[in-house]
Amino acid sequence: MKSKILFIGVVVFSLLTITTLIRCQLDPDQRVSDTRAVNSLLVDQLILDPSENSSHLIGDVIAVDGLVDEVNYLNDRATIILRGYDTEKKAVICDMQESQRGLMDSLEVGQAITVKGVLKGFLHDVILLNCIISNPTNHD
Amino acid sequence: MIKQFFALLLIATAILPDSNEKIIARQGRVSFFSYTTVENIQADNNQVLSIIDLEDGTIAVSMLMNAFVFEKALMKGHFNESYVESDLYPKGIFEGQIIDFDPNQQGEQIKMIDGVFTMHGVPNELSIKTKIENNNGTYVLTGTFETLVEDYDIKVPPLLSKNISDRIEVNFRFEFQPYEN
Repeated sequence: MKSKILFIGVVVFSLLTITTLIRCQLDPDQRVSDTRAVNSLLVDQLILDPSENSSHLIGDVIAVDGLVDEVNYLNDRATIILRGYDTEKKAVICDMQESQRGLMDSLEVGQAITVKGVLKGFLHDVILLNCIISNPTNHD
Repeated sequence: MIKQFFALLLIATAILPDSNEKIIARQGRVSFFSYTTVENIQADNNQVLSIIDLEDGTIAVSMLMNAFVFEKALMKGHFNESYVESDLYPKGIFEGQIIDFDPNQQGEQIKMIDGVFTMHGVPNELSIKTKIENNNGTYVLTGTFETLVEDYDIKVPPLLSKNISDRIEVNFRFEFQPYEN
């Protein structure tokens, strides 16, 4: 009986270790592409009260709906700046994956899109990294 | 003569910045490098915020420590979890003053910025040389400086001490736009 418990303990410990290692090594770009079930928010929701609504989501992959305010390639990075429907002065800065450059060229200012990426936090704007343009999902 | 005066006034108003004006960079770039014989480590943060008050030359910079991008995921893990503890100290903040800054001077000017950079909860005084390019009211600040890991109470485990330099090189570049707050 003792050896059985020991065996199960070793298996569980090994699985946890392997899962942690895989998680550490996982490419964040791949993580965003692979994650299907994500919290979906409007730009306005993220901006208006980040500490109340979304600070607990930092580090998570989220989907954000908004309007294209700007597409730029500053510092050799592909970036989409999303603005809300109600708020103008703050925005969501989405640092896009390299694979998205082709899609970005066809975007127009004011176009409604959904972007999926890792929420990093809040400065003047909301910062999302490893982003891809995604299909709309259901809102919370 | 009066027409010429008003024409000049109009041009000056268009070119010269408003003395109360603040400018903002929302996608500033800060990179750091650690060179050792074992390995070189580089990380980039392209979403660094900076605001300058043109009236008095004060400058503030704020960056999310977890937004640095590393070549290897493992390096990023060590950086955030073991060194800068970005869960506890999510932001690096610099507050300083550009010495003898003339916002009306067109072209390049080299200036010193004196201020305090707080990272990992530890404030550290810095004096940084910067090149400021002013092209008709569009300002770009660039520069490089070195700082010591130990100045921020960051403890590198002995096993990894050969992989991480004591002296970190930091590069920055900010493109500023008028700030409407």
